[in-house]
Amino acid sequence: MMDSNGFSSPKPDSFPAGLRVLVVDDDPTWLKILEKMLKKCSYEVMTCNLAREALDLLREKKDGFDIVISDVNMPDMDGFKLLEHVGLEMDLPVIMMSVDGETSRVMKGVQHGACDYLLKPIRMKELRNIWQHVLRKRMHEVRDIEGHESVTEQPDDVYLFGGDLNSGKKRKDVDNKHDERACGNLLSVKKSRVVWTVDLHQKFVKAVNQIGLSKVGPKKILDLMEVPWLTRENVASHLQKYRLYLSRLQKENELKIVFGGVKNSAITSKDPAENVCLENSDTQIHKNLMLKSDAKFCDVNGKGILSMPMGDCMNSLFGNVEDASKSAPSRISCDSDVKSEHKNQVQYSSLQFKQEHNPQFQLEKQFDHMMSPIQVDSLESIFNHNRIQTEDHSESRSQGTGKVTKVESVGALFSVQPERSISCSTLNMKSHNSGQNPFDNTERDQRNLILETGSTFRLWDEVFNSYSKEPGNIESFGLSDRELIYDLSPHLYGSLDVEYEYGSDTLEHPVIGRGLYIA
Amino acid sequence: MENAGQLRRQYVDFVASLYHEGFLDDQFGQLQKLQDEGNPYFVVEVVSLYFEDSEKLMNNLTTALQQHVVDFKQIDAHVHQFKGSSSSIGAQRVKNTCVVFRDYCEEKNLDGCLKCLQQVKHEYYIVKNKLETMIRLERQILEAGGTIP
Repeated sequence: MMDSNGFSSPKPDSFPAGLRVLVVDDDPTWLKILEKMLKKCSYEVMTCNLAREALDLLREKKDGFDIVISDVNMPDMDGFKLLEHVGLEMDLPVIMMSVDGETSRVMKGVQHGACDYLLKPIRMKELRNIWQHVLRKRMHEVRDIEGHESVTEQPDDVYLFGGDLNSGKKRKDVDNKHDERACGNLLSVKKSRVVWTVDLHQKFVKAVNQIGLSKVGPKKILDLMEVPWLTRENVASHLQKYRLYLSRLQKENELKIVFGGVKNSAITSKDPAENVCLENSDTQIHKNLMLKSDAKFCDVNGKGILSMPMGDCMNSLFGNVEDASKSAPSRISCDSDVKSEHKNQVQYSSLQFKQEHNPQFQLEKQFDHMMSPIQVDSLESIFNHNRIQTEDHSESRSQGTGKVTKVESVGALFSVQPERSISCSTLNMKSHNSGQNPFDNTERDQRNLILETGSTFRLWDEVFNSYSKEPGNIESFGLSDRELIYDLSPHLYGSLDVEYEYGSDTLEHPVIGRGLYIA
Repeated sequence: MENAGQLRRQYVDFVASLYHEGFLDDQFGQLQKLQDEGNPYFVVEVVSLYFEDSEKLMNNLTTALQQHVVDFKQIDAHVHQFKGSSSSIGAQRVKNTCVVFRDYCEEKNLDGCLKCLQQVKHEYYIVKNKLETMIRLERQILEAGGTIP
């Protein structure tokens, strides 16, 4: 039985047989061998020797593949970039391959969201088990959906991870329900993937801007978009990715600005003196935001210390939003010469965010209006790295986008309000800043994240539970914050190191700025 | 004309020596296992692809090392590629030479790189020769009415 894509639809009963795999490798020998091996596993295989081609294929055949296997080194595009794209656009599990097994490479793969990293020469037995990644992802999706559904009656702004802010119990119930399910159910439940076309994405961005990134929430966006077939979950997960994209851009720009293009600057200074206390004034916020390898948010309001891996750019962003005159001009104009692969440039100049088009990334069109949102969640974005982004991947999965311009929107979206405190759990940003970040327990966490995706959710749950004890805070949380947490993927890296430096203190302070967030 | 039995014995010994002398590693065995009735020429096809790809890579390497200003990064990329494809068919010696080659690239040791280029070409031609012999033997066995062991 063949569907329009020319692939038979996977039959849940025979899973994993019929698994639809896309193999991307510029080495013709490997491509042939892998194809043969996968066919022997009873999988359906398509091959590409160029990353571009693979992306086109994936976009054309929406929902035509279950998993992607790609080599890390390819001539037209870095495998890690492809990985990000696939994750962002199609949300498929991606396995990386390489003849190079150096830890740093593997790490990078994991950070970029690879669900596995295989070393060449690859044996057939390794390929036989790749279906586990597909299953795992589906399980998470179903969980997400359930979580979403369980809180439809709740207002968006208290909507949280797992749909349960107040107690981890509900989460456990969901988990239990899952456990009881037969595997078959999950296999046949295939979340239909929404392909975010340029038009659809534009509607999305328009809605987001209308609402204001800080106040945005999937429900509101959905209402504004008026796309009947789109579900709230679709929007929620897209929103999350959008934020990540923005944050990535943000981060890259800042890194550029602050470090003059030094990619892996070891920003590990944890000198408390540098951790700025964010006071109510916006300028303070600006001054205080410093690039830190550890992004720890503490409640900001004179007491807390906000140490973020954000660069001055962040400052300038805030500055721009709040009071352009205050921010030093140098800060504002971030000429980010984006990393080599990413030619987009985000220039912040007096509230203007422009982005050069990077022809390399087709997604650009989609995110044509990445404007103000960038600023808004600059803070949160930093931390929201659903798929890890190291500085090498300047283009966030979403890829370069067209012109980012909204000047006014910057202000609007951004409006950092002094009385709000940034109370977000912090993601241990170590990993984000540089590929060489010291990973003490991050590695372990990350491994846990990847391997035990369930735990990811629980961790977040705990995070939010602690917040839930402070009702005041909850209100001040932007919706966005919550939502972001929602669609956590196992690829969350480093972010699980939630650290609350100031404990309950943090919660007492008003939220500053928006989107600070825990991704 | 040797009979199928003799040819088969020859073949077995020959292949065993290739493994024994380190020209081929287990990966080659994996390839042979992948061959089946549906794909009786699988190994030959893969090996041919490897030959084609390798010649290109070696040409690129030669050219790159002849440049006025040698781009070691580029060379490293080619060697990495060569290492990858050699690993695909189990051309162990070639692959090992690539490892050493990459070290020289990292050190930006031009002399070392040139020596490695020589070495890698040498190893490649040997294994190419061996594989062609093996394929020829297989054909002979089939022509003699036998089956490949």
